[in-house]
Amino acid sequence: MNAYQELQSSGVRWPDCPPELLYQPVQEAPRWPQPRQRAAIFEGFEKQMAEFAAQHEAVLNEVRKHYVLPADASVMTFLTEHRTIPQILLGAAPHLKPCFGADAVFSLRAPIDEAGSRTLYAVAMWPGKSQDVRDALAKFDNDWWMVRAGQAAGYLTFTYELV
Amino acid sequence: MPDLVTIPISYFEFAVDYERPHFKLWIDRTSVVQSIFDALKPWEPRIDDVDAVTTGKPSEQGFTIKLPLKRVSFFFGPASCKFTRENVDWQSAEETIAILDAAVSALIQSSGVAMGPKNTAISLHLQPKSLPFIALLAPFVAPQFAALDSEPVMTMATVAKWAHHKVTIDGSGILANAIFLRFEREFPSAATYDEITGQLRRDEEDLFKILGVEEDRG
Repeated sequence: MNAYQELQSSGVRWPDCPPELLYQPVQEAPRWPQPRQRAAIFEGFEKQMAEFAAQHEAVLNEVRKHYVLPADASVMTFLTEHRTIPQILLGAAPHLKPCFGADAVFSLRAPIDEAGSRTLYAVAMWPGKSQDVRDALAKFDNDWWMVRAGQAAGYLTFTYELV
Repeated sequence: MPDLVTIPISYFEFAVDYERPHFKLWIDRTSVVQSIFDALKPWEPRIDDVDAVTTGKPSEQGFTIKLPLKRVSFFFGPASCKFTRENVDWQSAEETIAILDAAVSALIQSSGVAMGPKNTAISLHLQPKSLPFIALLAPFVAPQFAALDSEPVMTMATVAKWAHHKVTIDGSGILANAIFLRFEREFPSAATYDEITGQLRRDEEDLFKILGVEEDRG
């Protein structure tokens, strides 16, 4: 949360960097289908994909405003592979503060479990008493999370860590 | 003991106004673009990463060459040039200076512009590991300000400006539980890159000491 209205990013817009192909089986310009023969559904397909990517990037930037992400790419990769989770996290953000307090810090972690699959944990870093954070978590569960937990299909858990 | 922080977002800016506008850079800049493009060849620029800026005021128009893999952008116009690199740290400072020097030297040699004072800035988003970000900002809140309301201060900003130096400390508007630190310094046109790097590093160390933080490199 900033107080002073100043641009806080470099403002540079970066182009996409597709990975270099190691092997290119087709090196000629495609001759078929001709542009006029294409189905309408394919028109603007690349544009749509770019728009979806930009929307997803914007959602991830919003997530970074509410949750602390680890330095590695595990959480970003998880959020890219599970496209409904970022929206759930953003929906949860305004309901977490009333339960845990305005100063509460929430970290995201995506460890790999024994079965080899990942689950995302939204962890309240709690400096106070354990009973207080358990009460806060119970309130959040009852007020907001329980009726929406099904949307995450078991891929998201809200929990706490005493610090 | 300093609090450990991570720095998820950082960028370095270097901007120079020429001693006087150079209109060749507005009208006929082909050879200049070619020279800079060639000078950046070790970092593999691509033709698609060269953009002509043709909108805005004449001072805002010019050319931008980007090195996306290095997160570098270099703009030059008829009155100024600006170099930006994201994801900077002191380990990559030598490479940053090498790219900057290649671009600026090529600009000077191919166009003949005379550089004015060198304006530099480093911007960092510092994210505490578990401490609330307001704890880092709290020492800068004047008690008489804090006493204006019975509720605790949610965020604050401090800006200090000197003749050739400016520091901004703010809450981060981009990251959760983080502060934004920006320190700017103007150097004479004759200042060397070593002098600039050394001074900026000392500035950062001094500010980290004041903030009571240390980067977690683990």
